[in-house]
Amino acid sequence: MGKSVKILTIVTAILLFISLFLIFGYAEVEKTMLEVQKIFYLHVSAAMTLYLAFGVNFIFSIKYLIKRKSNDDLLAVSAAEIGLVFCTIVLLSGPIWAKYAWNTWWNWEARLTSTLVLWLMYVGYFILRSALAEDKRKLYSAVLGIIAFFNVPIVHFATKLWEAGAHPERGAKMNTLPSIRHTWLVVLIVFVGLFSLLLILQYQIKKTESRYEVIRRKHIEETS
Amino acid sequence: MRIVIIVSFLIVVGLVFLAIQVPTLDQKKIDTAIKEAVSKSQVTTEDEDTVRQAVTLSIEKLESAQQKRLKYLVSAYLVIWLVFMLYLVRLGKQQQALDQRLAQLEQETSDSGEETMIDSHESIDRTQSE
Repeated sequence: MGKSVKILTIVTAILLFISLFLIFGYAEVEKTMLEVQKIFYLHVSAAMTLYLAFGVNFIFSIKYLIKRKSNDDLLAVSAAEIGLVFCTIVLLSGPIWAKYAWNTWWNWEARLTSTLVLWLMYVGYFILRSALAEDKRKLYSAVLGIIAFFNVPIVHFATKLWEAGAHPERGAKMNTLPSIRHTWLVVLIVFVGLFSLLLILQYQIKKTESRYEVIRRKHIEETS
Repeated sequence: MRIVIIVSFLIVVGLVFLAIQVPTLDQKKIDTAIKEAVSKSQVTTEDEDTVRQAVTLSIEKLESAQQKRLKYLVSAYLVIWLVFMLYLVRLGKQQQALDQRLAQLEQETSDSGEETMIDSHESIDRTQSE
């Protein structure tokens, strides 16, 4: 583990404890949702982090198509995998909020539906990767990664593009309570830190796997 | 990895414990508050009983509502923790499987006595440890 990774791990761990203190000890209890509002910190931070993760996937997919370097493909797939984890968190924590706030686990409102479509598109990304041979896998998944990313702005601006429904519009009520805003920012930094650490870890595993495959094939060729 | 899982599990258990501990007003405090309020507003003894009943019912209702909210909160945090932990376990297993395959390859290469392969393998180890 590199020195910078160690520092990032320690900083993220410290910030994680600080964020828990901020959530339960510093941030004011919001007057409408009361304690349930505290789900917001993780739910929205996870949503922002998934944008980042799929953004990284988008950038490295483009880079792969231009330069055709395997490392770009590995970074893209690693970011997509972690993005999918964060997207799952959003889709699972959202209904718990919804059940309390709107008295339903799910409704087919624009933001919810587009997030589910986004999740399905990246699930499709991995299905595609597992179904194709290695030479086609990288190329086609890069193309799908680019196409799937266009759903991210749709998710983000869904409440503007269509009727807002149950979801609040972007930035709603963010100016009202500074303690909530500050806490959310710290949680967001923690999530970005977690994303970076997981990305490094996943990328290293995938890179080693890829090198292993190359050496194994070479070994089989030489021995046969 | 194990440390992360254990520490985070303890945090989640702590959260669940906090969620169960809904702050409750003890009967003495309620009685004192009602007596004070009744004496200030100069109501009759019959009214005092009605006030007592109403206050007790309201407190019970508020506490049950708070318990319900805390259950939602803890469920959400528990779900998020579970997703992270499952992903971490998956990463751990992936790493473990890779280590086994590398060990197997090392065995195969040492059996066939190919020094060049060992060199390559060592370079993988180096990359992994970095």
